[in-house]
Amino acid sequence: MADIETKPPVTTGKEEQRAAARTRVAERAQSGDTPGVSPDGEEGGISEAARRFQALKQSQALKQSRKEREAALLHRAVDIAPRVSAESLPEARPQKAPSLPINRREFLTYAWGGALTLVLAQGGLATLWFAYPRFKAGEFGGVFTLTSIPERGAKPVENLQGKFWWTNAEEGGMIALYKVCTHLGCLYEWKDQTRRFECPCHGSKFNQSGRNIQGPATRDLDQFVVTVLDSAGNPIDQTTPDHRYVVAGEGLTYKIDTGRKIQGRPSDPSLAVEA
Amino acid sequence: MYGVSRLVIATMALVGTFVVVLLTAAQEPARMERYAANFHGREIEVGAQIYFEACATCHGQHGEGLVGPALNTADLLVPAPGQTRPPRLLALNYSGDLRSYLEGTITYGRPGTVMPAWGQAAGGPYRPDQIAALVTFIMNWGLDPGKQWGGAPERVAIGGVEPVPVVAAVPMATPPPRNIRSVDLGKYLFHGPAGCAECHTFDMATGKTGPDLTDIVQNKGRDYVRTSIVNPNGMVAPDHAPGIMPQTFAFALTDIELESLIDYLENPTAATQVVFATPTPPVPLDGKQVAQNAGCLACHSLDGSPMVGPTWQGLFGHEVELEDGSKVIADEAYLYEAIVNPAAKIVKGYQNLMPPNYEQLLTPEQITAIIEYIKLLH
Amino acid sequence: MVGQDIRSRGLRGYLGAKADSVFERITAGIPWRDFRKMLRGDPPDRPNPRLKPHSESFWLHIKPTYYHESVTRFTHTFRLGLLSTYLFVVELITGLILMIWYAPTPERAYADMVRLLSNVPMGQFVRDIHRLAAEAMVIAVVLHMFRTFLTGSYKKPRQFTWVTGVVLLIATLFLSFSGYLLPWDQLAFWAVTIGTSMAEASPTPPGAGWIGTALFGTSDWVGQFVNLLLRGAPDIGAGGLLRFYLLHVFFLPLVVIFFFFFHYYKVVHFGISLPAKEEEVGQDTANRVPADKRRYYLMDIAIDEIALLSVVTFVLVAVSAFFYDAKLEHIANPLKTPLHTTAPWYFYWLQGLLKIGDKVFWGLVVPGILIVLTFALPYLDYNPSRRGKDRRYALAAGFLFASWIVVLSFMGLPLYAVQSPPAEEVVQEFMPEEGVGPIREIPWSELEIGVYDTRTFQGSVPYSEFERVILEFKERIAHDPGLPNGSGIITVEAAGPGLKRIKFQIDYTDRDGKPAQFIKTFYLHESSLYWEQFTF
Repeated sequence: MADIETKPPVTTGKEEQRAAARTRVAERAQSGDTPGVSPDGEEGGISEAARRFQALKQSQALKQSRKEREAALLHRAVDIAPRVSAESLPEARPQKAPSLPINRREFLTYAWGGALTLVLAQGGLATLWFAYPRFKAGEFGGVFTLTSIPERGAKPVENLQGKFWWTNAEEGGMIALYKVCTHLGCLYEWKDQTRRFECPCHGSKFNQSGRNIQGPATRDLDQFVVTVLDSAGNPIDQTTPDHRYVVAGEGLTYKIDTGRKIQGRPSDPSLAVEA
Repeated sequence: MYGVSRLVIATMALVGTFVVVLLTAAQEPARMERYAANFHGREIEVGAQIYFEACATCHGQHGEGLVGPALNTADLLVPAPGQTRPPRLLALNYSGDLRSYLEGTITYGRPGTVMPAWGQAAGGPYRPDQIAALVTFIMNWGLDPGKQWGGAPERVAIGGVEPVPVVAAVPMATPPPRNIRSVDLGKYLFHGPAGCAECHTFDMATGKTGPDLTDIVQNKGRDYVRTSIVNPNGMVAPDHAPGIMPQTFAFALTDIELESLIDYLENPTAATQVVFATPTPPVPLDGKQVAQNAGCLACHSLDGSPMVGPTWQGLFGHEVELEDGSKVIADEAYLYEAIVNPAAKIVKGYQNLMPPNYEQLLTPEQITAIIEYIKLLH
Repeated sequence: MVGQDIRSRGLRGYLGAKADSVFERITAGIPWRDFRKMLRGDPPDRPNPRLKPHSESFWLHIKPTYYHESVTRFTHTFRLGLLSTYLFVVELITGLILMIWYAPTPERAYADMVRLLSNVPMGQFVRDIHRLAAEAMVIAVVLHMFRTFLTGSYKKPRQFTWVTGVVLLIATLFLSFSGYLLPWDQLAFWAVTIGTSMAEASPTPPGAGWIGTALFGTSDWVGQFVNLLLRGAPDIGAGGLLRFYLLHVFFLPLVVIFFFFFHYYKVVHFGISLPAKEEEVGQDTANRVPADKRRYYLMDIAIDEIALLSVVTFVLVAVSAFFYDAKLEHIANPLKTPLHTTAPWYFYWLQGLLKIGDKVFWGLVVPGILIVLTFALPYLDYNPSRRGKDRRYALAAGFLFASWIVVLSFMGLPLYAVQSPPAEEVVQEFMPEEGVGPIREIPWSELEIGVYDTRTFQGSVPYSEFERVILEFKERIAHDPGLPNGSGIITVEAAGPGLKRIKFQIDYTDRDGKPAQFIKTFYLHESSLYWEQFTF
């Protein structure tokens, strides 16, 4: 407590009391022994019970004085004399304790802490890398390779494992339509009678190219990224959000990546139909 | 000051940990590839052990095909140009990939032929992982199809012990006819296509996987032996396990072959010829036997009674009405097409159920034999 | 109020003070300045704020506030208890991570292991650490027990602490054993089959037979009952795997955690026992430490622990990354037991006992008695002194016991007593059914195709690795008393793309004077990495 000086007496009684209390505590603390947590006290003349009581009071006083310390740091003295210039009352401001320079041990502790943070962060990243799933070709989430295409405008080919409809769109081009309806997640179906996709849950309807033409769904069907390779194995086309239908041709190899999905465009109202 | 050196050591240890983990992570992609290749290689080794124990007698030491079809061909193992599946699968119009085709064939066998069901799912001895290893071994041939590997072909025995070779007299020029009951036929089957010698011994004190068969007919009688061939799990010898002997011999062997086998077991020294050589029998085939082996008679009757497929009685040379109303004469060309491409012309009142792969399963001689036999049925 | 505070202190001052009070709450009683003083190594203020966390914080409340300086020497305890606990924590974390990729069914377990090692980034690394730390934990726990025995720290008043410790030892051994089965390879399957078969051999205590007759219809029921409980079926299969998995990830860790807190609470309550020569015989002042002898946990002892655990972490990581590779043999084959099947090394002593005689007496009764004696040690040892010179007999008995365990472990090794016929042994030595062996260590391309007959093989100096192995093979056959007139042939031929067939043939004269032959065939693929996979 040596770093908090007793202030010179101020005008009100409250301050006086506080100052006095502080002095008392400081004196007691300097003379007494470490309270410690161990219930077994030292050998000594006074009785065990009395010693304990003393310790209790000291700790209570300790709490009190810490509160007071806080109060002194945080609160301006309520009844400081008004109209006194700042320079003439330097004691009114709480004093700063002399700063502690960093020594080698403290620095090393921080260095060790930094190394620990590094190692823990690395461990966290490594765990994420470890845990992230990897898909095999032919597994949903992986790449499916197809070499044949349906006719343009014809009924799309269902791919059960990959969960997509392999469609040669009326609009022109190949598209792999994700089987899940863009409304609330049911699997829509192809209807031969009306030659379009219709969802049994809430009635969303999509045309053969995957465009939304009716129903509570508000966007077109989602699709998977398709990469097209020619007979030599060179990539010649790929799906992007701006280029949604890839070239349809014979003798080409199509790789549908069910791990990469492109969301359907918002519905075009000009395509809407009545029933 | 206490602890400074310890903190230095501790910090260095953690930095070292960081560096080691970083180094390991940097090498991970390459290591994973190496290990994937490692486990692939080990699977091939396991598959090889099984192949040379159980499959080589019929499919050849190099997969070149003997009694069973060739397995090391590009036709079976290498994807057709511009395709993802090999030509044989495309010709069959098989819907799955090569692995599922091979695993399915091995697991369930080919009823009507000597190819037994090997998988535990169908009552055979091998677990799914063992069959998967076998398929990996077979597909490995696709890296260099058609090549002959290794030294002189020899059969590798189970458990490291070769069967004591039968004393040779004259090497067998051709195997005995399959339609005449004889001890020679039994011996040929025992050491050859039926594969008995893989698991049963004859000349030693204890059997290998299966019980020793010395004097079995004398001790137990023909009926016992016959039953244990056609229904192996019906009588399991003590200290041997059920579910290992293939269950499909009842379908694979004709009565003549079965009785010949038992004749051989009864009196092995009566056989005049020795272990088989590579067969391509120029013997005229018995069309009825071929039809029976190929499973035709399961769907086509010989006496006019209605079955799944049209009856053969009175078929040849007569008019047949097809499902589209047209009528054709059932001549040799029609019969040949009906066998190799059944879907081309469906007879009215029947469905398209006939297996489409008889062109692969039967040799042209066998198909001719069937047709010749059908011609005999008035 | 806040506005006034800011104006009086300045914004920085206000925020700094606020931060300090938050900091003090997080550290449970040490404000920033005192924290820095602690890190600097300055003497504490009066009253000492570094004692607060020991009563107010969760993490530190179980740690003692201070230790007697005599017990803080590293060589007093070697901090083995701390090491055991830390290794358990490492196991919990690595185990939890591994659970992401593993499911305990026979259809999947082995494939999951293969995937873990070949298609999961850092998969092999995490698995290696898990296995290495498990083995290290068994060693640490045993050494800790031995140290406690040597310092006599199991005596009054710490007897019950010892008892909880023995429970923890048994739990550790069974944690290791239950985890052993999970890879579902040949090693796992057969080692655990042996272990649980011993459970099956449990004798029914005389007089308890009626229970069995009433419930199961047989009076010799205990072995069968225990066996079915453990395996879920007469043989190890899906039921056994699942039960062992549940033991391994749930039941046994719970036991360890519960008994650990029991154990450690007692340790702190009584204090670490002082070196015996500093106290009177029969006296225990460990938890009444005079002020001048105190060394506070914060921060000196904490630094010791930090240093030890950091170094242990580094050693675990470095050894796993560079030296140690947990092996994976072929998939479990319930129909074929491979040659040289062994129990895990910490059960070699048990396997050694089994080789002495009757499996019930030597495999169950004797270990049972040993375990009971270990539990009862503090209650049987009535000598109140912890000093070495007063405990000559006890120490001698302890060392004798330890050496017996070592001898039994040596007897449990596969080399001792379990021999196949000599020709089979020779081949097993050169190309074992599971594992590496000299042949598989040779690079695949150097296994030249050809027939190598020991009767005619010369080789040419300088010998290639393969030639050296062939000559070793020749020597081995020549010096084997079980193979009179013995000779061998190694044949290497191509068997497929990237695949070689290696055939061993040994011809010799058998006991009846007749010529005998032993043949065994192996296949070796160019990509298989046995030498890398099977280190130790």
